[in-house]
Amino acid sequence: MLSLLLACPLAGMLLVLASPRTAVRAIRAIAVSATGAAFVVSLKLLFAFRAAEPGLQFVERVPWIQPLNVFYFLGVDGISLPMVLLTTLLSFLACLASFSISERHKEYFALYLLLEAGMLGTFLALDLFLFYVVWEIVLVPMYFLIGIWGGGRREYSAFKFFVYTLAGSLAMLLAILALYARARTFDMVELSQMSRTFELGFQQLLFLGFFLGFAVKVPIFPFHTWLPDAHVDAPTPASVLLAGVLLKMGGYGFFRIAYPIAPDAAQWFGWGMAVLGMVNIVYGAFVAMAQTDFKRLVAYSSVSHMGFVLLGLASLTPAGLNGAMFQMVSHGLITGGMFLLVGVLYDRTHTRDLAAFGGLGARVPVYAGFLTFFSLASLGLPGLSGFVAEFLSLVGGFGVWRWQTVVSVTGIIVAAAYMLKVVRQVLLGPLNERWKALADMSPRELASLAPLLILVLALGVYPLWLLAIQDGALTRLIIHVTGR
Amino acid sequence: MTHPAGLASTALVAPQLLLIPGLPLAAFTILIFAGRRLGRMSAWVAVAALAGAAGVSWGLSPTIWAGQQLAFSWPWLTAIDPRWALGFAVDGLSWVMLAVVTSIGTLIATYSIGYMRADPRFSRFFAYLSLFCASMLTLVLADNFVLLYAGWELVGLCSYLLISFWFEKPSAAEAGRKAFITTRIGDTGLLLAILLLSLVPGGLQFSRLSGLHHILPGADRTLISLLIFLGAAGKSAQVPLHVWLPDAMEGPAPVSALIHAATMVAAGIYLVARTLPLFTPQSLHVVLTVGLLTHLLAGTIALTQTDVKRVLAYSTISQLGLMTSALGLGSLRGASALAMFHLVTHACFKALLFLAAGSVIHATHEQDLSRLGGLRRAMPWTAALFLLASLAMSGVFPLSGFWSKDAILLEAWHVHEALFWLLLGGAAITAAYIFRLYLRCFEGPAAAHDASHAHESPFIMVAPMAVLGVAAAVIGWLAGSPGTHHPLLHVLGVTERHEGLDIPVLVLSTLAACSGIGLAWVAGFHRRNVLPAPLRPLGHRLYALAANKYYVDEFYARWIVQPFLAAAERLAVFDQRVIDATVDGVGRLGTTIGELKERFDRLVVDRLVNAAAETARGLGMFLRRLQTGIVHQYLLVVVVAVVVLSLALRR
Repeated sequence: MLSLLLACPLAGMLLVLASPRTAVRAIRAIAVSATGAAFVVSLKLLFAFRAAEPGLQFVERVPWIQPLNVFYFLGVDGISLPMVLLTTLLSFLACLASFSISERHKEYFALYLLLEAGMLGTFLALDLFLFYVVWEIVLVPMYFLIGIWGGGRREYSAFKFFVYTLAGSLAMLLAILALYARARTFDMVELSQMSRTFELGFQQLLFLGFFLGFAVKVPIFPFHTWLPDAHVDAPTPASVLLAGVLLKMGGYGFFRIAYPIAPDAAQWFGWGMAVLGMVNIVYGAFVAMAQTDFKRLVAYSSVSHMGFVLLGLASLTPAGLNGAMFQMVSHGLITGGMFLLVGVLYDRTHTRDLAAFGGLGARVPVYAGFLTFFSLASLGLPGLSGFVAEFLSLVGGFGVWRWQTVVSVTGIIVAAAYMLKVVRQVLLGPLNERWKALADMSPRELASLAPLLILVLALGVYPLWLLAIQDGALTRLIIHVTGR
Repeated sequence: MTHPAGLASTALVAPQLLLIPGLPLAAFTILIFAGRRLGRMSAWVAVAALAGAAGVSWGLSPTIWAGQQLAFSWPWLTAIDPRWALGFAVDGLSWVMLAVVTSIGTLIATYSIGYMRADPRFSRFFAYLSLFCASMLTLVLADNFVLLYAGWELVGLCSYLLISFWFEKPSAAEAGRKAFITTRIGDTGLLLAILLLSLVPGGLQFSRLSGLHHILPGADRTLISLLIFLGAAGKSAQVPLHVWLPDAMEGPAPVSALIHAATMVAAGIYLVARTLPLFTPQSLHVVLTVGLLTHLLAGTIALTQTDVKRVLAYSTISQLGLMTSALGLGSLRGASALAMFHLVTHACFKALLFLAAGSVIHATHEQDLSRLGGLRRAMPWTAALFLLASLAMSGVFPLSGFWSKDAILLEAWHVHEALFWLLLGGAAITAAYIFRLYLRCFEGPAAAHDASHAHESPFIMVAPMAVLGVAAAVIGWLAGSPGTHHPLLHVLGVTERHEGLDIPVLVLSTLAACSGIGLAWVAGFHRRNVLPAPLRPLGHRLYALAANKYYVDEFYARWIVQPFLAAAERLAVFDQRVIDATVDGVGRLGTTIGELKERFDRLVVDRLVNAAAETARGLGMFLRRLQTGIVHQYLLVVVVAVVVLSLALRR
């Protein structure tokens, strides 16, 4: 089942490569069906998933490079399943948004599908070697998506993104090699079982190595400056996946690798993780407040929101970890939606300067409704998913890291300030005459945004169904790490 | 007998509670999707939903009056912790709020049909109004802090949407944002209190609050209650978080009446009344001080404002201050009941005042006092109802404000005489500003430009005002007079209440009201300076201070908003110039090292080791090619290496 999931985008990629360059419609159709098929398979996965069992399910384990003890080892549990669903959903929706790509369709969609396969592989892999390979594979298509189809200083941004992430991954590679030298296996399950035999000093080194790899991706202050540049120059669908999924790979790494394999170090670094979470939340929010470019503002808001993942993680409490996981899903949906909305506007106006808009609320009411909704979700309005996530992270964090959480709460005020600044500058006030002929959202754009809106609302009103999926695995993780 | 501030855990299961916020929510859903198609019908959808909610709420009254409680709960975050169930519950306190919100909501929605008649976003207005009521009712029905907080934030959102309803006006767009952010500053206090309470078993359930003083030390309760009060102060526009409410008058008049006078701004009072068991004498002291300060400061500002709605806004702040003072008086059982009593009467007369002001604005398109006057002849109904509400607010016997204000005055007398005299002064100020407003709007010569085409508002607007007028006249006597045995206090759980009128207090408060009205007649209406000559410069200075709202807005702009924006700017520059520059610097260092290495190869290695030159050169070339900066070549190497490695080791 999991290989089938991986096969969907890969088969799509091969089909796209086999199609003639000029058959744009066919290429689009293939891409949409491939991402759609992956989404359907992941839904089947969801329905076949037994939430009551906290362990790994749908496991596939085949020897790959036997002398090195490398396996093709896949499986999902309550931690990876939400990520898989997020990936297939956002890939499908961003694929719809990719119709506005106007050149080199064949290469674009081939890379796009490769990207999806890489992201899925990251969330499915249970063998560190395999994980490292797919982790690096993700970089390549994203590099080209930004570098070729981007705007502005796209070469600079793409290169910065690539080198930065690669540098982080090297630290992770060292940690993986150190682990292999010690344990002679890449099997994450085995490694986490024997983690108690690793002395604290060794665990701390491991944790630091993994931390650097994941910190760049999340991104954690001060490793975040590639993010605004990459976002600003990336085409809309790449931005959606970058914020929606790629950042989550970093967070997921902590859940899947750093915490289980270096549990004592994870506790040892808890204080630091909480401080970094707080810095991310407050610093990201302040810097977002000062932005004048719509996309940069949303990019910095991501820095702020991902801080809640760190804070929740650092608490190692059920509420905190659930909040952190929930935030990963919620932020993927909300920020994915935000970037789609920026794209809708940019396609029409070719500007992202917030000061250039004004009064659009009267001209494009449907767009205004969507933008207001996602802004409110982003500032953590109760009834929408962001609130549940932030609230749980804060409750979890508060019990353990008191003052870090108290400082983080101020980030919520700033979040209201910058999101309402967006609404104020784009939608309210007198209509800027330049945009008096602006067209409202097309059915295709609506189709790519409506599912996100429904999910954000559904998760906010009834968070239980996502929590029920992830809670078992997270409880196991807490017991494993804290020994309690 | 129900307890005023604690829900019992034995309550009747009542699924019909879901209907109370459910009906307005359904109306919102219908209107947001089909509003444009429904056209003018959309108003009636909202009115019907609210009337339905009012029906259900009033239907609960026999059970509530019999001392029973109702509840209904459902799972929310129970996967993590069984504590996280959410639920609704109704006791006397929440029932009073339910009755106020649904009844006044229905009346104001009806009035809005006339007031918003010509607005292009007619159905959108009723959608937001319905969403507001659904959120407000959720807030009131919540049996725990989490759901209350959700409703609390959602009413803030609706307030934002409705203040900015005419968003083409930059001032309206700004006012909405100011309201949301200012109240959110208070909300973080409430959120921190919730976080603290989440550490206590059962701490988030209102029904368990009265048991908490066994578990929590006094210092903790002081902290928690002060944080809760910070939230309440933001919502109820208490000093120093009051600055958003006057600006909120940018919204349509019915919004001001419903949200910014009768219901949402009273949520802070409700919250404190609900969580009163957590308050310690120390925190009640703070509550009392803030309440008194707000009552008097806002009252004096109201004396000087020239915009009709802004006078009413400061009046609302001042009256909310009076309710806060009542809470701070601290006699645990009585205090919350007295504040709630004044909340009820205030909701009636203040909503009426706003609707009447709206009627004036509707007729004249003018809200500047200096350009209004003599409207009584053109608008007899509006004028009469405005006068009635003004008398009620001034506390003239036997109208509603008299009963609720006198109850508070009497309580203050028992606590400390100085409090009584301060509040009595506040009562005089109240009468003065409201009669200044009435006289200058409705009496005297007609102002030049508008009186000729001013006209009475249509029936659909006057009828709800008339109903509120009846309520403003009699509800005090019905709900809280010795003649009817204080039924409202009874339902709020206050049992011991001395019967009979306190004649000295009655006389003094009537004197205060009369002197206020007299002052309004002389100084406010006939513009005569009553101060003796030596005091005049001081009087002018004080007047200027109050007219400029004590410069609080300017102070905030200078010392909070500007430093905040400057900090954001600085951090953004820091991010660009320091952190990002470091990254670029490291990158450049890498290139430089590469170049140095190349030069080293060329200049040193080449010349010195001539013999090995060819090999070194080949290697150097190879290395250099690796450092081309072309990423797919790097990757090619990685991929080839992986493949070769795996093939090599497979054998």
